Amino acid sequence: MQALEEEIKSLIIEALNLEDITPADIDAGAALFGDGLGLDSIDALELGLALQRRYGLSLSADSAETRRHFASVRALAEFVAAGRK
Amino acid sequence: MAEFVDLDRWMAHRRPADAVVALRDGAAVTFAEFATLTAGWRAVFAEVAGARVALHFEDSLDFAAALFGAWHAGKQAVLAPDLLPGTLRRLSAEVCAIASDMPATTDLPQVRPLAVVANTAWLALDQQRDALHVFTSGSTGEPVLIGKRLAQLCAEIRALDAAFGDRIGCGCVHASVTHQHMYGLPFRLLWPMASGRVFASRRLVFPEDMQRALADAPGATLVTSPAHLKRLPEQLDWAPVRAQIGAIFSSGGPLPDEALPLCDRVFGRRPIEIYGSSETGAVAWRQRELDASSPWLPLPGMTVRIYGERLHLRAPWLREADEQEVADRVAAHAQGFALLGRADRVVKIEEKRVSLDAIERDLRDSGLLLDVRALVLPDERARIAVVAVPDAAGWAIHDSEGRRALVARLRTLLATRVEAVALPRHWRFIWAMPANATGKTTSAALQALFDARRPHARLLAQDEQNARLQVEVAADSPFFDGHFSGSPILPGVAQIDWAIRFARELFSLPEGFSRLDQIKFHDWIGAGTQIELTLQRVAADTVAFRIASDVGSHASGRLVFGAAT
Repeated sequence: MQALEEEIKSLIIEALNLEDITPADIDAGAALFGDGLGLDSIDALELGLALQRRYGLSLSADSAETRRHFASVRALAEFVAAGRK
Repeated sequence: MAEFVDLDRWMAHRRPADAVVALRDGAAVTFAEFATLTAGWRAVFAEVAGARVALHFEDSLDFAAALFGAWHAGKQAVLAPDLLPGTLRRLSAEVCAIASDMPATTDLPQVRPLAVVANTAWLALDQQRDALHVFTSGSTGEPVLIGKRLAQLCAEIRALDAAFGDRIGCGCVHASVTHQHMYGLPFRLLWPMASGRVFASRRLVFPEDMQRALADAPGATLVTSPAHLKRLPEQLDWAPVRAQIGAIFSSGGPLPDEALPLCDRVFGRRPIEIYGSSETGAVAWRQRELDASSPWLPLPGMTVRIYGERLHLRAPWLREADEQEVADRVAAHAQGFALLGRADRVVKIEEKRVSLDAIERDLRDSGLLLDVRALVLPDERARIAVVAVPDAAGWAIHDSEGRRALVARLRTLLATRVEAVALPRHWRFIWAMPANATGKTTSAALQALFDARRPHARLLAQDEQNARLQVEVAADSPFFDGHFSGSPILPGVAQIDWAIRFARELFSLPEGFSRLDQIKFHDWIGAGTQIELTLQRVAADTVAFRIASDVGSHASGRLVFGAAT
């Protein structure tokens, strides 16, 4: 799971072209949106696309659930791990 | 389809109590339920002193009830673009209360609808009254409120119905855009209401929401924007959507050509694109088919005149009886016009109008910068970038806490006034704005600072002939790509590139590059280190350089500029 979290951190930095941020700067448990990493609504769309391209999985049609998956790197890693099975 | 009912008579219009007005989470909301909700808002707004109330809702049904409630209580509604502290501060000078379905941090009274015994007596509204105010970034970038009379809103909706009423289906109107601006408000809410279409109260935030809602909605209309249309995931099962969707509208910003084939594959049709603005409402439309460069066609009732490259408009839904000039540059076409870009420094970032002047002004007010320029980088996802010259206080933060700390400080300052998508994403701190021979800072020179090959650098000392810089050898420099995997070493070509790049930035040198002399590489440079680059101008066309670090000298040589001899 740790490896997957690192992979997702790199995916986020690459897909969103984040400047001056390395995987080590991202706390796997911290909020991705709002106060945490400061990602925005367009980042959410971009990240959704990147996850679908990399792992071939679709987000749920339930936006409340999607928001839960997007809460942190850890939540995303759990979602990706569950979806890949 | 129900008959067209103008907004002034919409509540007073006699219709069956069980007529469906909206869909919320798949459940029908009847006119009777809507009228009860609206009466609750009317009751609470009637108790508020003052003429204007601010509205900000995520849910379109609640918003519509609050809007009609405010109008029928004799109030004017101010559309809050967001609930950022800067916006709320600005609002508190303009309105006497705010209604929202989200928590807002403000001293303004926040009102909720009263639970009233349904009073279903509704009078017609006065069309000539000011009904709505929207914020728009004026020519200075400072948001200004512009007012619209009910008659203007009615005229715009009538024009939309005349242009598109027969082209779209009778199904539910779904949207991924909010009703809080002058695209979403008429398209996803007021026009559907007036034309007797059902509107969906919840906004479709993710493509998955869109796919699910539309797969189950015969003849639906989708009101959306380029932000979504250019990011549609093709893996989703769009076939049921394709089979029954009625129409797609796109507005808020230019739809890139690349999005059209994606729309074809996903929806089996192309969006009707709308060109307009907060000030003007909808102006023109087009539906690009084979000819991707189709001109924009004015809406019925919109008179368009073109003087030079400037567009002048006249329409019943414009405030001014005279012609109104807009800040977009255009070229005349046989039937309509083509858009060429803005005449001012307002840019669109993901459909958000952003004033580069306002960003620069806010940053200049930070007390940390001597000079600052905001620009849009021409990459795939246009984002705002900032080039800044810190003052002593700014450099102090930069040097003691790091570049990211300075960025964080400046971003926090902007975050109370600018929406997240419009916050600058890329920052360069330099010692002086690049200037060309005539002293102008060109956008090409600013953009060159964001070249991924240019490292972050800090000028340590400079005089007429000498300069000393501290240069960051970042691990993500493209010069490390493939050089070498697992053990990154900065190639010699990168060291020469940096020496030439900074020599050009710091000294006025002849055009062209002649040759390298006496180049020596003494020791390798690894990723994630700091190096010191010393430049010495030894002749009008020659700069000697030396690269050193704590471990010693890395490289030295002479750069001879000018035409090759």
